Amino acid sequence: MTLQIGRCGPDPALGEHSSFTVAGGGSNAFEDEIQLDGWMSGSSQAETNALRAQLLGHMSEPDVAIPLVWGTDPTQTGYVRGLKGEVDAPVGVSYQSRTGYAFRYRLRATKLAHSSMPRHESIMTGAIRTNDLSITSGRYPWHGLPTAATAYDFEGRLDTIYTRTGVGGTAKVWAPATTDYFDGYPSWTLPPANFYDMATTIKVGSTLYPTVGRQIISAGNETAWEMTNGLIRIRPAASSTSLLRFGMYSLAGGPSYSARDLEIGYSGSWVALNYQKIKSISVQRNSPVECIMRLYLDVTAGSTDTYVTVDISMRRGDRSATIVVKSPKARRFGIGPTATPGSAWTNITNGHYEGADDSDGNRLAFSTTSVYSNDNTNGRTYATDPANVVVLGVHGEVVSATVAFPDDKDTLINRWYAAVNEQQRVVIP
Amino acid sequence: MKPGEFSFELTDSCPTSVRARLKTYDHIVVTPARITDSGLGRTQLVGEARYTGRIEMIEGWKTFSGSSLMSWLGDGDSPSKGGFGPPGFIGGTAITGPGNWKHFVDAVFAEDLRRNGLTLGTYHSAFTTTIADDQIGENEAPRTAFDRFARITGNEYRVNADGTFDSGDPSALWKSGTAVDLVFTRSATGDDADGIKGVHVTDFRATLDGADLTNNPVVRGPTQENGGGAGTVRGFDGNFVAINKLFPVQTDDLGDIVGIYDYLSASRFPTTSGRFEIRLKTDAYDIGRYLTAGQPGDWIYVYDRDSFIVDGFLFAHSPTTNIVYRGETIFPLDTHRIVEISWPIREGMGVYLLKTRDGTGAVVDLSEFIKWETADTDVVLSTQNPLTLSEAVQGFN
Repeated sequence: MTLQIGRCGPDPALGEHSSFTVAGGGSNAFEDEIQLDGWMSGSSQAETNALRAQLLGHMSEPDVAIPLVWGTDPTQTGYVRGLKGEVDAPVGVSYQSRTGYAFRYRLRATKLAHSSMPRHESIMTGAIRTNDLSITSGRYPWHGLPTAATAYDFEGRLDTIYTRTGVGGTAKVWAPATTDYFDGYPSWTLPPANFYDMATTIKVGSTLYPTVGRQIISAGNETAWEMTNGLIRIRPAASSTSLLRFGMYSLAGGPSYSARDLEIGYSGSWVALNYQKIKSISVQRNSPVECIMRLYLDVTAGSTDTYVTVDISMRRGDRSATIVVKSPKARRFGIGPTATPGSAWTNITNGHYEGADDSDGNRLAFSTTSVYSNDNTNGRTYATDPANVVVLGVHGEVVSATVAFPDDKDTLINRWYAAVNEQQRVVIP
Repeated sequence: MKPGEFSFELTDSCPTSVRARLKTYDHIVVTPARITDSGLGRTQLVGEARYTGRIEMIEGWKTFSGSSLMSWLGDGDSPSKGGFGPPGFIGGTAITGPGNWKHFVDAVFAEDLRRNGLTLGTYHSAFTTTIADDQIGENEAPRTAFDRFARITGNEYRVNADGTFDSGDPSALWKSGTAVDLVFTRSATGDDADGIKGVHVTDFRATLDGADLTNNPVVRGPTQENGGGAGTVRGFDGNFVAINKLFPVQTDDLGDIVGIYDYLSASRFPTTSGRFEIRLKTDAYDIGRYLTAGQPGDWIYVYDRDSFIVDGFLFAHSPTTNIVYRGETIFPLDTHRIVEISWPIREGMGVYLLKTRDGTGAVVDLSEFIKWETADTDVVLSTQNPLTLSEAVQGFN
C-alpha cells in the first residue's frame, strides 16, 4: 500500500498506514477536508529524513496544489492544497521482519473540487531579455509540459506539438513563431500521478533526494546537489578547474546523461572559478515549472577580491539552462568547456558553437546578453567589458547530425533570448 | 512635498525627570540603531539621523506628536505681515522676480527669518524655467511658494534629517533611470551582488482607478480654447470616444492656453487605463536605509504577477522591461515612485530628544522609554508627481 503526497514518496519500505479520514463539507460545497494519520518509512535514516523534509516543504507552501496518490484507494487520488499538521522525529522500526526508519505524521489537507482531474492554468509572462546586442524582435517564447498533459488550450491556437526526449521521459513543447506566450494563459489537464513528470527538480544530499520548498541543508552539501528536468542535468563538477557538470541526453548506451565539465570564470587572463570555491548553496525557486539555485563562491583570499554568486535556472521542457553571474567587482565573466576542444569552436548568430560532435554525437552552444567575445581555440564565451552582472545561456544540442526543430542550436539560442516567467495553478474545470 | 507626521509614546516606567525635559518645538531624532556614546552631541546625532521631527503636540506628557523639519518652512497657508511671525513666514524684504528656481531658493536661505533654522544643502541639476514677479506671492510661507514654483518649473525639493535643503530636477534629486536599485516583490528579498536590493512585500493592494482617465483635456478661455476631440479609448459602439475634462481659464491668450493644455496633458492625468496606485505592506526593518535621504521620492521596481503589477500590462501589450533578480528574470513596473511611507519605530532603533528650545542642543536618549511599535511598514507607489497628491504621511506611526 503506497502513499505519495506531492513529491514525498511513494514511501518504499514498510508501507503500512494507520488511517485515512475524509470529512465532508469543507469551506465551500466543493471541497472536502481529509485527515491522514500514519507512518512514513524509508529504507535508511537519510531517506526517511528526506521524506520528512519533503512533507515539511509542502506544508510551507499551503497555497500550492499538490497531487495525492493513494495506492490502494484510487478514489481518493487527486489534488489537494493547504497541507498542514505535524510530523514526528524518525525512529527505528521493524515490521513483519523488515526493519527501517519511520516517522509518525498527522496531516490535514483540503481536496480541490474535481480533485482527480482538474484543469491547470499556466500564467506566462515574458519579454526579450534585456541585452546589449540590439536584439529587439524575432525571439519567440515557448511552452513545455509532460507528455501526459492533455486537452491543451491556448487561445484556440492549433500549434504543432514537438516531442523532446530525455533520460526522465518525454516532454511536449509548443513553439510557434509568435510572441503570444509573453502574455498568455494556456490551460491543460494532467493526472496526479504524472504531475512531477519532467518537472524541474532540485536534489540535495550525499544521496540525492528531491527537495521541496526552500529549506535545504547547505552546510556539507556545497558540492552535493543536482538540478534536472529530465532533459538536462546540472551538478557540481569534480575536476579541479571546473565549476559545473552539464549533462545532456545521450542516445548512445542509453538513455543517459552525457556529462560535460564547464568552467565559469573571467577573462583578461582566463581565471576559472572551480567547484571548491562554492561556499554555500541556496534555493531561489523550487517549482515543477522552473527551479533556480544560487551558489556563493568565495573568489580568493585577498583584499582586492570578493565574492561571486552564480544563479542557475532551468525550465520544464528546456534543453538550455541560464546562468547569471553577479559580483560586486566588475569582471569579464564567461563560460567555457574544461577540456580543450578537439576542433575549434565557431561563431554563430548571437552565440558560440562547438566545432565537432562529442563522443555521443552531441554539441554544446553558449549565448549571452552582454557584448561578448568568443575564444574559438578554447571554446569560451565571455563579456567583452567588465560588468557586475553577466547572463549566460548553456545549450545542449542532442545528436547534432540529425537535429530537428526546435532542438537545433539556432532555435535553442533564439528561444533562450525570449525570457519567460511561468507560474501554474489548479483551476476548477 | 508635504511634511509627514510622527507620534510616539513613552512607557510608564519612564522617569518623570526625563518626561519633563520634552517641550514643544524641541526636536526628536530617530536613528536606525541605538548610539550608545554617552558624549553624543548634536552634530553626530543629526548626521546619523534617519528622521528628525519637531514636537508640536504633547498629550498627558506621555504621547508626543508633530511633523518633520520641513514644517519650519511653513506649516500652513495663512500669511503674515513682515517681521517676527509664527515660524515659517516670510518676513522683512519682499523677494522680486524674474528669476529661476535657484534664485528663489537662495533668497529664502539668505534670510534667517525665512530659513528658520534650516540650511542650504545641495543643488542637483535643476530646470531653469523663469518665475515671474506675478508668480511670487507676498507674505506667504516659503513652502507654499516652493510648491507652486515646483509645479511651474518641474523641480522638487526635500529637507534632510540634518536640516539641509536639497532641490532640483527630480531625476537627479532622487534615484531614477539606471540608478534605480530597489525591487518590491512578494517572492524574494535580499541584496544581489550587482547592487539590486529587494524588499519583501507581505501584501499588495493595487488599484487601477479609471475615474480620472482623461484622453484629451479641454482648456477653454472666454473666446479661445485648445484640446478636446476623440481620444484613443473606444466606447460602447466600438468607435473612439471623447473622455475629456474641461478646464475653464480666465486668459484669452492662445499661447497661454496652449501652454496650460501642454502642462495638463503631459502625464498629469492618466490617459489610457487609469491611475495605477499600489499600496503595499512590508515587514522590512528600517525601509529608510534603501531610500535617498530615507524619504519617499525614489523611482523603484515593483513586480507581482498576481496583482497584474507587471511592466506593460496597463496598456494591453506584453512586457519589455526585465531584470534578473535572485537568478530569476522578472518584468517589473519601472514607472512608479515611492510617494508615501509609514513606518513603525521598532525595538532596536534609537530615539533621542534634541533640546533646541533651551538653546543648549543637548541630547537626551529616550530609547529605553519608547513604546515600541510592531506594525508593518506601509508604502504607497504611484506614477503621479507627489505635489499633485493629497496629504502624505511620512514618519513613524
